[in-house]
Amino acid sequence: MDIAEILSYGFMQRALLAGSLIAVLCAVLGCFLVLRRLSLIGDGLAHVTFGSVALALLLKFYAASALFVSLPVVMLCSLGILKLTERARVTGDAAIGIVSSLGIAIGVILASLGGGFTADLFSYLFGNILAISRAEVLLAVVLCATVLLLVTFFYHELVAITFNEELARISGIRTGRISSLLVLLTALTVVLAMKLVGIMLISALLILPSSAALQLARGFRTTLLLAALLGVIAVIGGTFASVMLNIPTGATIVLLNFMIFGLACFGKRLLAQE
Amino acid sequence: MPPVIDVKGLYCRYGATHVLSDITFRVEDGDYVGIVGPNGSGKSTLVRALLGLSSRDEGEIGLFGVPLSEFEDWQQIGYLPQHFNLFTSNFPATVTEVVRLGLLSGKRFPRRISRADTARIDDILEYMGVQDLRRRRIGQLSGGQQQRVLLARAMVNQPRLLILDEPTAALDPETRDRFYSLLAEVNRERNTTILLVTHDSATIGSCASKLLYLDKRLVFYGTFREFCVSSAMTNHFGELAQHQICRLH
Amino acid sequence: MTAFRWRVMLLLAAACLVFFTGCSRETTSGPAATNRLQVVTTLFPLYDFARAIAGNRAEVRLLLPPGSEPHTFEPKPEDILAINRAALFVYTNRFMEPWAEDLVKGVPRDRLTVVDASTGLVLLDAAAGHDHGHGAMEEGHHDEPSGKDPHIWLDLTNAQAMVDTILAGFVARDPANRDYYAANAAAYKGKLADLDRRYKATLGTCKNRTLLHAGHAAFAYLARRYGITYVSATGVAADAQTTPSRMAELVKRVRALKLQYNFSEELVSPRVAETIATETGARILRLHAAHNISKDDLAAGVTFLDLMEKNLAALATGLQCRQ
Ligand SMILES: [Zn+2]
Repeated sequence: MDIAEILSYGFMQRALLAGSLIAVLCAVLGCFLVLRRLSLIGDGLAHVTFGSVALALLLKFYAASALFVSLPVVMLCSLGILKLTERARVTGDAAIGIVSSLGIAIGVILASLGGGFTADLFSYLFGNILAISRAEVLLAVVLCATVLLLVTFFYHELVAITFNEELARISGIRTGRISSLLVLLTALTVVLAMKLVGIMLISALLILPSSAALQLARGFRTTLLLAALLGVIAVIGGTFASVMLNIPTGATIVLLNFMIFGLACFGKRLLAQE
Repeated sequence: MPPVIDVKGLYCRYGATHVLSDITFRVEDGDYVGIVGPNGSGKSTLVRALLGLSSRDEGEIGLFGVPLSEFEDWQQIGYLPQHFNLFTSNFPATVTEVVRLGLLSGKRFPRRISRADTARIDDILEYMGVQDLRRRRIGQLSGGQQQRVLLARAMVNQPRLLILDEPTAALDPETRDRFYSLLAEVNRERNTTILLVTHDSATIGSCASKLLYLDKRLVFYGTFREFCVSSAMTNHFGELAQHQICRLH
Repeated sequence: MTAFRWRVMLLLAAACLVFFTGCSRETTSGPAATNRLQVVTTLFPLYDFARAIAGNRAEVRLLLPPGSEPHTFEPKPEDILAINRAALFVYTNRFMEPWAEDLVKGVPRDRLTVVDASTGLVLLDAAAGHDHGHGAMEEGHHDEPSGKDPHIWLDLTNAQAMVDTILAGFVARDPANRDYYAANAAAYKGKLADLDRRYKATLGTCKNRTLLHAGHAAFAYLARRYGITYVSATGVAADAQTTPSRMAELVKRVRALKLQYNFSEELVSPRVAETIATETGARILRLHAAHNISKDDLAAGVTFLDLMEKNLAALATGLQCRQ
């Protein structure tokens, strides 16, 4: 299909705009999370979201209002993951595994108490990049602006705790608060962005662009910028590829992300050989 | 002037085992203290306790005359943790960015890096002889270069106290000697108090002004000369070992 | 999302083994307790047909949990148990429940009669579900599973044939109540036939003859029966995702035909329909493909006929028919 024509459709414009914003958001958060060995937190929090929506349905919060239950619950659980890694000498991935399986188990029990899973539980939770409403684009803009503003504001602190938490602590940085900020922003992003583009895309955008950028960039700032750029390239390139090949958009973006990551690993080898 | 470090009756435990018992000592301004002792003698635990990074059961710690719990003037202290370059190798940061992190302790929120700060970073990199590496990724440097950069990070605020935990463990002997002479210069020229943890009790004698021998308790604390004439140390180490350490001095 | 859902389903299965009491409240009503004929059905239409035939002389159970997604459903251990305890097992066809044939293979036929409700019916090709009579739009849909469209029940003449097929199963297991079951089946078929006549009458008068469905291709049988062009967002599998070109085609179609309405799916969030609505101004009406119903509807005693009645009303409005 003609690119110019397909671009004239509002849903395509919204997919490209909201998708790119979310890509930037996820790439930036992803750099911190991957380096702190919390890269699977997106997936883990998605499981928790599932549990929290089961709770929301049990409390008779339906459809969009389920957010009022799931957002605080998921944010609390993200802090729980953090506390586990700090207190109990549990590694990041294990902590995520513990909290997410608890989330799923509670979800399963609540759902069976409430009379079984409903298809709408999933469909309200997991969006589709081709079906983003105007209000949701606005949500993406606000979310992106909020997160990027906070990351800019606390940039040095975030880099410091990612580099070495103890050194950050004896630099007078309140490391607990900064770590909490990071996982809370992640929770916010996972719950809201998942509603827009689906969990598959969120997990991929959190991990892959940042991992690719980590292979190539020298400095931290350049890593963040490169990750954001690669994420946006994947979203835009993937969307156009899905138009031309007539295949589902979300999966195409994930695949392109993976190809970029592969190329980055290959590129790193070439750089190392020089 | 209050002592730089003042430790009274410090006890530390790790689970049920006592790692440190009844440690009392003072470090004065301008001292260069070598902390030595066998593996598992609590050297790292001691310096981490001084910085509030590991918990203590009992005892008082004062830094620059202020109790540790109330201490906030962290820019006075530079710290280089143990095995640090192993963890930083994969971190995506240029040399400049790593050193810039050292400036944060001197700033209040919102922490911003000024032009004067950039100049300080350039100065310390030049002092450490790594100014040509400033745009390189930290992980691409050799062990000795990384250690210099990390020392630059610890020193960029011109701290009055520098605490180093086995900084030379991964270095070859030649690089290690150069690193030691750099520390001696810092101690001499900048009047920076240094606390250096090392398992290498023989070499430390040639640079440190004081020796702190630790073996879960304080075995010896004093100048090197005192160590060599101490009959208690002769009893502890045996005459031969004591002589071997002191002969190098 | 699919992988995620699978993981959830797997965990659900595991959890059901542990929390057996939580999940098995339907079985505890006790198959062994009565001597009545035990019937297990998979989807809601089959359940509704079977319970109409059964009256009060047989016990009919719906396997699919209310509100859940039918196409990705896989039986849980407890469901397998229920099928093994039953005397009659009714499923839609091997394209709807691909797991069914394998599952009942091991059970001796003298203990369990298995009814494929599509017996004797001609199934449409899955690809045709997309867009009737507009072959030009078919190119590129190679993501379709090569198979048949399973949604046979949405043609009300098919539904009548299915009632007969199910009745035969009842009679084979419980010949003593043959006349009772036959009378119930006849009454139910009468209602289906009556509804079919009204569909024909109403849908024959529509200004618009294109049913634009922002969901998976469930209504091809209905569209064919009443001579309507059917366009859907995705193929016959419910969890397939639509492509940008497909979305653009839908939007184009709405604009070209000046459609006033587009139709959303039951049970799921009407995201795609809302997107088309934003794009074109076409309002949204809900069509219920009746695979499954919500928990509340089940509790309220909603029947297949009720759902089809509502669909007729929605179609009459959406296709601008004289009512
Ligand atoms: Zn279907």
